[in-house]
Amino acid sequence: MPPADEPIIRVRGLVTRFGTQTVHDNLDLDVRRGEILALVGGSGTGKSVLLRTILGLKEPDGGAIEIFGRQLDALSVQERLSIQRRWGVLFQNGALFSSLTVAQNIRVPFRENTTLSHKLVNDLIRLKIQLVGLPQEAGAKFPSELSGGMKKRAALARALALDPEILFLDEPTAGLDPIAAGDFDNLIRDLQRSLNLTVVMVTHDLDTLAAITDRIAVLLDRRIMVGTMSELMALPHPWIREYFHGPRGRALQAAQRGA
Amino acid sequence: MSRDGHVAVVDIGGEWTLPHAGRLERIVADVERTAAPSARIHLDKLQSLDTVGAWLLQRLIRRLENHGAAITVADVSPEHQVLLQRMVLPPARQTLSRPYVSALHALVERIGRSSIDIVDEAHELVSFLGVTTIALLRAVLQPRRLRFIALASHVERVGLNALPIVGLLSFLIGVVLAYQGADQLRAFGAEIYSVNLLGVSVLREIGVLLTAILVAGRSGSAFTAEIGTMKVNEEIDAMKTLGLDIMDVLVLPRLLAVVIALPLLTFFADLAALVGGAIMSFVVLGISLAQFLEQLQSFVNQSTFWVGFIKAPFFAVLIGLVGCYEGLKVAGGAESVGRMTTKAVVESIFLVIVADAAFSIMFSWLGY
Repeated sequence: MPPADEPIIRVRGLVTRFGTQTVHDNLDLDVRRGEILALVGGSGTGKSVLLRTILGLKEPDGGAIEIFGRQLDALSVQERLSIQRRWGVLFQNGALFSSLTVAQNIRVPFRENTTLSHKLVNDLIRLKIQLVGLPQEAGAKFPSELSGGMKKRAALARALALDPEILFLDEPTAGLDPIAAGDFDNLIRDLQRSLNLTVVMVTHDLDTLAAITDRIAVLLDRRIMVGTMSELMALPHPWIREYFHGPRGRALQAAQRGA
Repeated sequence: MSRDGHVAVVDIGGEWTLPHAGRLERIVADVERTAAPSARIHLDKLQSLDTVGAWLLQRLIRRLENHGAAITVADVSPEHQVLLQRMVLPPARQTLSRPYVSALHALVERIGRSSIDIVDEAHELVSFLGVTTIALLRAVLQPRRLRFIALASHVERVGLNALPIVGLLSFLIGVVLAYQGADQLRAFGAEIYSVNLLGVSVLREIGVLLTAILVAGRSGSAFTAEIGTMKVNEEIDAMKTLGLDIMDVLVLPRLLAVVIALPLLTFFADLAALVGGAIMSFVVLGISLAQFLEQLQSFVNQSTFWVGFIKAPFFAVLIGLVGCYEGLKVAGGAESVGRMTTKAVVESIFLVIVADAAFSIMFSWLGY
C-alpha cells in the first residue's frame, strides 16, 4: 500500500484524440486520498472522457494513469480486475440492470466477486439500501418502478456494494430537482466521511461544488487547473471568471454570504 | 479471547474487511457460542474496518446482548465508531424478493394475459389499418402531403439493397427444387416434369413467400427499430409538437415503399429461382435451355405467374403495417425496442403465411 500522502490516482501526460481533434494534451492530475474532487469544464472539454479513461473504459492515446500506485496498462487482466473491485462507479443515468430488481442489482457485484453466505449478503444488501437512504421496500422493485432520485440512490448502493476506496460519479445531481440534489450531495458527503471514500465526480452543479467538494479540477485548453473554489475564483482566466462570476455563480456567492 | 473473572475479554484485531469476510463470519460465530454472561470487546488492534466487518461486529454485539450478556466496547477509534453506529437495520426484515406466486397460478395468469393481449393486438392492428387508410386517402387527395424523398430512400433500402440477398437465396432455392424434383421423378422416367414442378411452385408460392419473409426480417424489423428508437428519443413527441403528422412523415413512406418494392423483388426472385432451376436441370438432367423454356411455356401460363404475383402487395401491406405499428408501440427504453422488433418480425411472418393460406383457399375456390 502506498504511503498516505501519495496520490491515490495519478494521471501524467495524458493525451486523448478523436480523429484530428486533440481533447487532452499532456494533462496531469493528482487525486489525494480521502478528498472529494470535482471535474468541471465546458462542453466538449472531455470531462466524461477523462473519467472513462481513468476507469479503463477507454485507452489513452498517450501518457500514463496510476491508481493505488499501480500503472493500469501494465497490469494483467487478473490484476486489473482486482483493482477494479476497489472502486465503484455511478453512471450518469444510473445504469441499473433493468431486468433485475434493486436488490438483485446490488447482489451482482457480490455474486461475481465474493463467496459470502447468502444470508450475510442479504443483510449487506439491506444495509446498503439503508445506507443510501432508500426505504427497505425499494429492494424488491424494478428500476422502472423508481423515481429518478431513487434510481440514483439504488445505483449508488450498487457502486458501494464491495466497499470501494474510490467512488466515481458522473453528473450525480443532473436531472434531480434542487431538493433531491441537495439531499444527494449531503448523502455523498456523509458516506464519504463515514466510509472514508475518495470521491471523483464530474458535475456542473455549482451548489454541489460549493457544498461538498474539497478541490475542483477545471479542464481548460486541453489541460487541467486544480484548486479549491476560492483559489480558482481568484484566477484571471476568462472561462473560470465567467463560470464562477456569471449570474449563477454570483447568486450562489450572495446566498453564501447571506448564510 | 481471554477471561477476566466473569468477564470474557474479546480482542478484535487485524483487517475486518470484505476479502476476509468468510473467516470473520466463523470467528464471530465462535465468539457468539462461547462468550460469558458479560464481555468486553477491545478494538484497539483493529487495522481496517469496512461495512462488512462493521456489520459482523455490530451483529455480534447485538446477539450477545439479546442473550442477556452485558457488553462493553473499548478502545474504539472515532472513525470506526461512526461506521459501527450506522450498521443498524430495523428489526423487522423486509423481504428482498418479489411476492411468491405459485407456478400453476403464474401459468394460468400468463395464458390469460397473452390471450387478452392477442385479441387487443388484433383489434389495434385493424384500427391502425383504418388510420393508415385514411392517411393514404388524404395523401391521394393532397399529394403534397406525401414525402417523396423519404419514399424514394425507403424504396432504395427495402428494394434495391435487398436485391443481392433475395436473388441469391431464390437462385439457391431454384437449384434445390429442381434437384429434388428430378430425383423423385426419375423413378418414373418423368424427369422432364421437374420443370413443371419448379415453375408452378416457384411462381405460385415460393418466390413471393420467400421474398416476403426476407423483407419482413430485413425491413419490417428495421421499421420497428427505427421508429421505436425515435420514440425512445422523444423524437416522435417532438414531431407532434412541431405539427408534423406521424402518419405522413413516418408510416406512409415506409408502407408505400414496401408496397412498391415487394412486387418488384418478387419478380426478381421468380426469375432468379427459374435461372437456378434451369442451370440445375441442365447439370443433373441434361435438359438444354431451349428444352427447359419450351417445357415451361407449355405448362406455365400467365395466370400461374399472376396468382403468385398478386399476393405481393398484400403481403407488403401486412409487413409495413406491422413494422410501423410495433415501432409506434415502443414504450420505455432500449429493451422495449428489442422486444417489439422481435414481435414485429414474428407477427408479420405469421400474418404473411396465414394470408398465403387464405389466398390458396380462395384461388382453389375460383378454380385457378
